[in-house]
Amino acid sequence: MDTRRTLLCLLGAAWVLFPPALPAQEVDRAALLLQVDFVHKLIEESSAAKQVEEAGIPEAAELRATARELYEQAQQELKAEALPAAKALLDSATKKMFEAVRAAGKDEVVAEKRGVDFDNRLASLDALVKALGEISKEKGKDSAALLAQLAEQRASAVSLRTSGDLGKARTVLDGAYQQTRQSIEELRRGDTLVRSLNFASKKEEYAYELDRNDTHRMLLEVLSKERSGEDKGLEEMVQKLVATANEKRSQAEHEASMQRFENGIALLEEATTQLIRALRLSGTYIPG
Amino acid sequence: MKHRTLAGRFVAAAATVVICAGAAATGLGAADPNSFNRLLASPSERNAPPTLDGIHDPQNPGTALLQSPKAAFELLPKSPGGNYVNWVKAVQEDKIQPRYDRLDANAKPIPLDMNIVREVKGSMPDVVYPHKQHTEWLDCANCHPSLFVPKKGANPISMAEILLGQKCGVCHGKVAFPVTECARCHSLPKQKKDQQAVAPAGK
Ligand code: HEC
Ligand code: HEC
Ligand code: HEC
Repeated sequence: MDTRRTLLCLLGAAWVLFPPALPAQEVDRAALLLQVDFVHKLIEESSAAKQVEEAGIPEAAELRATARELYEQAQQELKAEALPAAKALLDSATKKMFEAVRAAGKDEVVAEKRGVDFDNRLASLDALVKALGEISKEKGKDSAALLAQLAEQRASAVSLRTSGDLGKARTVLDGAYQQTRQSIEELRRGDTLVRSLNFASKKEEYAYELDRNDTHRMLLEVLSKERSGEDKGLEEMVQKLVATANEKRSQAEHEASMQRFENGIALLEEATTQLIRALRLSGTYIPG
Repeated sequence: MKHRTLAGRFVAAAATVVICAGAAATGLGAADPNSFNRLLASPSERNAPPTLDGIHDPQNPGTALLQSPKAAFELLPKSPGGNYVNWVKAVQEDKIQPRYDRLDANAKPIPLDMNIVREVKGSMPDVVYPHKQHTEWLDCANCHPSLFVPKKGANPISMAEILLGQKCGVCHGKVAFPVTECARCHSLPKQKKDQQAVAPAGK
């Protein structure tokens, strides 16, 4: 979201420009002039200024007016060469302007974010409850009562949200979420699950080999950036291996296009082996 | 105690910077598919001081006042890649105490001790995905269901996707240790699998 991002960037910029820990000793004139410019832009031209204008919220407009007054006073102090006073006024003007942005964004930005947060948490609850059901079945544990209770909490959270009470809705939703998470933790604690590699068909295995080949090409590309090509002989050997790999790969693609996946797999394995050699030459450890 | 707050400040600064860089990056850098992978910068470019990191505005007089990552990371456990900090060890050794809940300073994580092993074809050791090390920092909702359906084997993952910043690469290479540290993910050698698959999860 644009407005939120703007606000965060401004806060970041302010933190950099006016680090809070600096002692209030001498004020550097050049830095102060930069700050005058920054504060002027902040109040009059920045995206924050636009946001305050467009929001049409009286509280925000008043805060901006106060920021303007403080800025004018700072100009007066600057003319009188009262630099520390000018700096203090500029800092206050910046603060007021941030308050203005916050006031302008309050309703729209905050409400939208809380709505999005609720929806995301709801999606997460649904996914985890589904997993909890499956894990209970796998472990032979009767979770019917728990699942019914979670479904009830979910329904209650959604109806609270529909009726506009997002705060309460979120509390109820979080309760169900924590309960689900904890139940999964209890059932799965200490488990190691193995996703073994079984291919349903040669076509599927071919697709896997394509991915594996892509992986090694990309690894070579990314990791060779670190090599900086100081060794000419090594570079040549790498290029040769890559050329062979490319050739084998296009042969493999041809075989696959004729539905001869078995041949395709064998050729891709050869192509990938070339790339593994090239990777090893350029200093990446690949076992085997 | 000192480095805890220093590291904390660095994280805060980095967070601001990431958001601002995001705002500035629209329309930029789309050409190079690997440009996202900031932590794969060559070793000499890593952990550069704020004035040279290519993120902060070097013209801004405040940039020089920011703490350099090198100073902030000095007392943390070392790692050979990324930003040279082993963040998993840093948490285990209580060198940092990441705040778990934005609103509640006393909230503690309930780590989930469950490993998912993903077999890999060829000689490359299998991948062990550990929930434990992740849930010490992250919430289930950071990954489920937007990145991964919570069901063993339901998510196809390839190394190419990871290198392009998808799946595990949404974090690894950006905010977690980079893809160059193969052995931290590919941690289950083929011959040892039978013994280790029955050993308890976690460390
Ligand atoms: C950093 C990402 C991440 C986080 C955070 C995370 N998970 Fe997972 N989770 C995964 C991955 C990856 C898998 C494996 C999916 C696959 O094999 O396709 C998985 C699988 C699962 C499964 C499926 C296991 C089975 O029975 O098949 C469950 C249940 C699960 N996670 C629950 C949780 C819970 C509860 C939390 C929070 C305490 C959590 N996860 C946090 C990434 C994550
Ligand atoms: C939402 C962000 C996120 C995603 C997605 C993610 N990780 Fe991580 N991972 C982390 C963080 C954060 C750490 C701890 C900090 C670090 O080590 O940099 C971590 C640590 C780990 C560790 C622990 C290493 C050790 O030394 O103990 C392994 C292994 C790992 N991740 C593998 C994976 C794999 C495999 C995937 C994809 C299936 C994955 N991660 C997806 C964020 C993520
Ligand atoms: C953040 C964790 C992580 C790191 C770091 C990592 N890998 Fe992987 N790698 C994976 C995952 C997850 C898979 C997919 C396994 C599966 O489900 O098939 C994978 C798969 C692979 C495959 C099989 C082909 C494919 O694309 O599926 C190869 C080869 C491979 N990795 C090599 C490497 C090498 C070499 C490195 C170091 C330069 C590396 N990996 C670093 C997580 C990682």
